[in-house]
Amino acid sequence: MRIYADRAVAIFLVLVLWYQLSLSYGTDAVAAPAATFQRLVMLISTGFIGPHLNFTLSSWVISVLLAGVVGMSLGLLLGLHRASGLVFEPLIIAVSSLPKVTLYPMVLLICGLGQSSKIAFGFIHGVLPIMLFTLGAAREIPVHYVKTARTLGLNRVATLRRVMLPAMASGIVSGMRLGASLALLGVIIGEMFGAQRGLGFLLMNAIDINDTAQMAAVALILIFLALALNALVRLLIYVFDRHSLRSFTQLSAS
Amino acid sequence: MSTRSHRSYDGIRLLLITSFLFLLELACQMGWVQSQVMVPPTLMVHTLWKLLHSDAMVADIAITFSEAFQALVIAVMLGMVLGWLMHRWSRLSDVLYPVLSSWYSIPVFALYPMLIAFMGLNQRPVIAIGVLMAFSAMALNMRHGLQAIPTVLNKSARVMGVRNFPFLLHVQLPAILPSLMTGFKMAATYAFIGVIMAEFILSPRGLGHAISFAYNDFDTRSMYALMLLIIIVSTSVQWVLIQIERRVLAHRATLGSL
Amino acid sequence: MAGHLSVEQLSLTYRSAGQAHTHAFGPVSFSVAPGEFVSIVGPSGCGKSSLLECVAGLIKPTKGEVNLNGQRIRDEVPAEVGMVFQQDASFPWLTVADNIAFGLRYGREIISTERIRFRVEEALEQVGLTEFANHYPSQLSGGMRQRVSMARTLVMRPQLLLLDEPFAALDPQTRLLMGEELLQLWRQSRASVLLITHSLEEAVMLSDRVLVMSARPGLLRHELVTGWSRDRHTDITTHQDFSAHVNALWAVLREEAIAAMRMQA
Repeated sequence: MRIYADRAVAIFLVLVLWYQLSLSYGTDAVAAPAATFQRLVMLISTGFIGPHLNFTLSSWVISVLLAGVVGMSLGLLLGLHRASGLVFEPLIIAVSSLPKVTLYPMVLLICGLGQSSKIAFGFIHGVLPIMLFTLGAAREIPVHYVKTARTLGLNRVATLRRVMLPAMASGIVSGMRLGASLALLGVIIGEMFGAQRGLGFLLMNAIDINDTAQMAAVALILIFLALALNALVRLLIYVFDRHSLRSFTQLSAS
Repeated sequence: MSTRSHRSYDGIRLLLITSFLFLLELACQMGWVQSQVMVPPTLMVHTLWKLLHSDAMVADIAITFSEAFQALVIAVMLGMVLGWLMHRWSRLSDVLYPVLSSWYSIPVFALYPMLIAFMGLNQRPVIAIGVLMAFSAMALNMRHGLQAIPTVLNKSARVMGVRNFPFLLHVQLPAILPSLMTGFKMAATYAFIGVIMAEFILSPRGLGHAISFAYNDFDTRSMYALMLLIIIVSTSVQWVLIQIERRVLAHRATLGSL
Repeated sequence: MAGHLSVEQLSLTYRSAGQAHTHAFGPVSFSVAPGEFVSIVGPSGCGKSSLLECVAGLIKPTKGEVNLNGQRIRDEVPAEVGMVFQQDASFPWLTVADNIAFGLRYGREIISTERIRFRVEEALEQVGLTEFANHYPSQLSGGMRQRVSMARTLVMRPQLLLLDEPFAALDPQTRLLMGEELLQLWRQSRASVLLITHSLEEAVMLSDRVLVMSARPGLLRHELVTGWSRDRHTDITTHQDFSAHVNALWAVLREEAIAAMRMQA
C-alpha cells in the first residue's frame, strides 16, 4: 500500500516541478500542466487526434509483427545452431549499438516517404532486441529438458512446441517488450521527417511553430502508450507463465 | 571458449563481412541498385577520406565527440549516484525502478525544445539529451551490482573489522566492477546515439546534422560516407571497451558473470 | 581467559516484510571454555545460523546477553572473533595471498607491511596453499577456497572461531580432509571453536561437546560430552564410543528433524 502512496507523491512532485518550470521559463518554453491537459482533452474530444493516432498505431503494430516474426525465427535458428549463433551474435550486438537514426536517410531512399518507411524504421529498431533475446533464450534451454522430452517419446515438432518454446517464453517476452517499445520510438522518430500524419508529425509540427501545449500533449500521449504497452506485457507474462507451467507438468504426468 | 575457436569464428565473421561488402560493391557498379539509393563501398571510403580533409567536417566531428564524451561523463556520475541511492533506500527504488527500466521507451528528444529554452541554442541541450538517454542504464546497473554483492562478502568484511570508507573502496567497488563495466558500455552506446539523434533531428551542428544536411541536399555520397564513419567509430569504441573489460575482469569466473 | 564465551538467555524474534513475528530461536544459554571445541547440531530452520550471527555481533539479539572474556558483545564484531561461512567468501578479484592479507591490511589494527607478509606466509603454510599464493580463487577448487577463508580468518589470531557449516558445500571426501585440517589448526591456534554442522558424525568426530537444538524456535534440548583427548584425529570414528555418541544424538535429533520437516510442508 505504501508503494502506491509513494508513487502518488512522486507524481505530485513531478507535476509541481512542471508547473514551477512553466512559471519560471514562461509558457513559450514550457507549457503549463493545466494548458497541456486542456489541449489533450481538446485533441481527443474533437477527434483531431484520431487519424494521427491511427497512422502511428497501425505502423507500430505492423512493424512489431514483422519484427516479431523475423526476430523470433532468426533468433531461434541462431540460438539452436550453436556455431551460427556464435558467429553472428557479436555482429548483431555491434549493429544494435549503432545510432540507427543514421540509417534513416538510407531507408527513406529505399522506401520513399510513405507509411512503409515508418514501418521499416519501427522494424529496424525492434527486430534486433527480439533477435538477441530469442537467441539467448534458445541457447539457455536446459539440456535436460530436451533429453526428457526425447525419453518421453516426443518428435521434433512436439518438442519444439511443448517444451522448448515454453522454456523460452520469459526470454521471448522480455525481448518483445523491449522490441515493441523501441519500435514505437522508431516509428515516432520516422514520422518526424517527411510525414504528413502521425504522432511524430504532430510533435515535429508543434516544435516548428513552437506550440508548447501541443508538444507536451503529444508527449503525454506517447508516455501513456509506453505505459499501456508495459501493462499489456505484464498481462501477457501472466498468461504465458501459467500456461507454460501447465504444459510441461501435464506432459510429465502423461 | 578456447582462443582457437575464438579466432576461427572471428575469421568467419571477417569473411562474411567482406563478402557482403563485395556483393554490395558489385551490385552498385553493375547498376542493380540505383545510384540515388546506394553508393558503392569504395566510393563511400573515398568520399570519407576527402571529407576528413575538410575543416568544416572535422569541426563537426569534433563537436559530436566532445558532446558525446561530456554526456557520458555526466551520465556515468549521475547514474552511479542514483544507483547507489536506489540501493540504499528501497522505497526510492520501488518508485524509480519501474520508471527507469522503461526509460528507453520514453521519447526524451521531445524535451529538446524545452531544453533549448533553458540552456540556449548551443551544445548543452544536445549533451542533455545524451545524458537523459544514457544515465538510466548506468543507474540500473549500479543498483544491480550493489544488490548482487553476495551477503557473505559483506559479513566477512564486517567480521574482519573492515568498515566505512575502506569497505566502500576495497569491497564494494571491486565487487561491483563487472556491473559498472556493463553499465559503462551501455551508457557509452546511448550517449553517442542520443547525441547523434539530437543533432540529426534538431541541431544545426555536428555529425548528425551533417548527415541530415547531406540527405536534404541529395548528396548521397557524403551521406553514406558519414554513416560509414559513424559505423567505424561506434564499433571501434565498443571493441575498445570490450578489451578493457576483459583485462579488468580477467580473473573473475565466480562473481558477477556477464 | 582467552576465548571464554558465555551466552545467557539469548533469543531472537524478527519480523520480515509484512509478516507476523518469527521467533527464530531461544532462549538459549551455554558457554564455551577457553580452547574448547563445541558443535551445535539441529534440524533445518532451527535458527542455528542466526544464533551464531548473534554470538558474532552481526545481529542484535532481541533478549539475552553474549559475553566474550567477560565483555559484552553488542552490535559490533569484537576483534577476538573470527568467522567462516558456508558460502565461498573469498574475494574473486584478489589473489590468495591478498585475500589472506585483507583483514590485516584494511581492518582494525595498523600493521606494518613486513609483518603482514610474514603472517600471510605463515598462514599459507598452515593451510597448505603456499604454491597457490598468487592464484586467483576462480582457479581453485571449492575446498581450497574454503581454506583461503580459513587462513584469512586465522591470520587475525581470533580467540573465538565461529564456523557456520563451513564444509557443507564440499564433497564428503574433501569434507573429511578439511575436518582433519581443522583439528590441526585448532590445536595450533588454541582458539575456542563453535561449529555449526548438519552432520552428526562430523560433530562427534571433531568436538569436545555437542549441543542439540530443537526445531524452530530453537532451544537447547540436549548436550553430549564426547570426552575425546585434545590430540584426536579423524580416525576417532573407530573409537568404541563413537557410534554410541552418534546414535544418542540421532535419538534426540530425529524427532526434531521430523517436526521441522512438517513445519516446512
